[in-house]
Amino acid sequence: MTTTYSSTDWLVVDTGLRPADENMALDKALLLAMSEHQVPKMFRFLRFEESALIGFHQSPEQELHLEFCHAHGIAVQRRLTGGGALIFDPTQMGWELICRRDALPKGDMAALSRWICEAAATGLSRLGVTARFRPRNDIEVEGRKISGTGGIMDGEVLLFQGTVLVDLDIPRMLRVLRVPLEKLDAHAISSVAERVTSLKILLGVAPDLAAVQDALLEGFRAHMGLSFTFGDLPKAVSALLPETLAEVRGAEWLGINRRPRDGMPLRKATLRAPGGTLQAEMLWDSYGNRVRQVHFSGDYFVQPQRAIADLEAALRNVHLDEVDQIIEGLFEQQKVDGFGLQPEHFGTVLRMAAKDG
Amino acid sequence: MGIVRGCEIPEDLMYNVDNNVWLRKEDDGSVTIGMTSYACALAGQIVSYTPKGAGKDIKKDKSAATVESGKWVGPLKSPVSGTVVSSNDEVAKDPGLINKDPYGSGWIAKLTPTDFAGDSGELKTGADALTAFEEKMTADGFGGC
Repeated sequence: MTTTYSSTDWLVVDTGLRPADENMALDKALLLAMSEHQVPKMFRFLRFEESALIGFHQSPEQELHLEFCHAHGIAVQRRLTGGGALIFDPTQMGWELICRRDALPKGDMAALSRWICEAAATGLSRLGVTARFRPRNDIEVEGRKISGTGGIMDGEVLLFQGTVLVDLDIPRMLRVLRVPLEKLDAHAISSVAERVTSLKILLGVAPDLAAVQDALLEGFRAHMGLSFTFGDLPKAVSALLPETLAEVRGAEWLGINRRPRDGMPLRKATLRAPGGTLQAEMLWDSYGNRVRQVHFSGDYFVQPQRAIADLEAALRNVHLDEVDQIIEGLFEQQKVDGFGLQPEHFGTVLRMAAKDG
Repeated sequence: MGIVRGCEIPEDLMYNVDNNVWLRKEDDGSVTIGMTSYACALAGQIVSYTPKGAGKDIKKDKSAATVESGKWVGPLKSPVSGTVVSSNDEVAKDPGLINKDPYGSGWIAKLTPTDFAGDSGELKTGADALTAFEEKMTADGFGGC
């Protein structure tokens, strides 16, 4: 029997809790089925057994503590989408849109991701938090990240996905993901907690996952005017799953961009400036001269306080030649007062760290 | 140099307009392919580049490399079938070169085509390419580079 889908509604499918490889294989199958006009535009909810997911262009050796992952049965997988490494466990929720380009408003990639992220933020705000889009592709609450996103555009077909941190085990996250912190102690945990949050932390209790799904759909309804019908995974997708599962389970898939861990060392520098002492710890791409991730600390005062977390978010995966422009832009945009600490001090300490080692 | 809505579209190159890629036939029979300036404007700053390795066979309209900008990943689809001769080490080191010089040092891949005559028939060049890009930009709602 042939299933007939609405031409206006998005088909909402909850594929439930699955291993990481199945979820990645489903993404591949969905894109393939969409490119062959076999499925309608879809909104998928997905959950993961405990796993560490790297971005498409990342190297597992550089981004993850693989020994810990292997010792604790944490699956390692590569996403189809861009962005950085993240952890997933059954407490977290994933969401994604799969459609043809013309199902969404016209515009460039940045405008498109802003629009989708704003819709997700609108939805999360319905749960009682004030969620907002933060460039490049985060959703944050009071300066703390609560959702990361990324997309793939393959011709006329696109998939854009995000996470929702319903709950988060920060100490475990720090044992799985490489972060730009030399010591993983209580101070490191509290420092990360100033930059990442969860619905449980914000609301005092983790909301029911169904409530999170409803809120997200409401956000997309309100912000983007989407309408939904609910259903099962289309058979065309299930039929492709064995083939795509074999692909993501193959060594070639995880081996894309295999780079040695020492190609991304942790570098560190301290600058004594008029406004205080500024320390930068960063994961440094010595081949491409790129700041992969940076963490600022030290003895200084910056207003607004969230400017530091925003600056760190803006400086992810940035060429060293571009850092000054980004820092100056953010200082200007947020009217940052560093009480003597100037934009050039942040650029200087990054260049010092790059030379370290 | 042709210009469409502020985007440079060199008239001596060949284009698959739908996939937003250019192709140049080299004297030795190989082809060089890359992203158009229009594709770069849509994508924004490119931060990652993963090419298919030398010796890899690529079918027409299949991915010869993958690039990333603003957390969006996208394939660069080869306009012709062929075998990868080389990828661009300079771009691997600094993917931003694609934005800075898309038709020069920011090239994506060099291939030995398997059936250039057969595959290149639908590619646009010269004034036809400019017209086709104008139409695509209208359809895409693109304001300009």
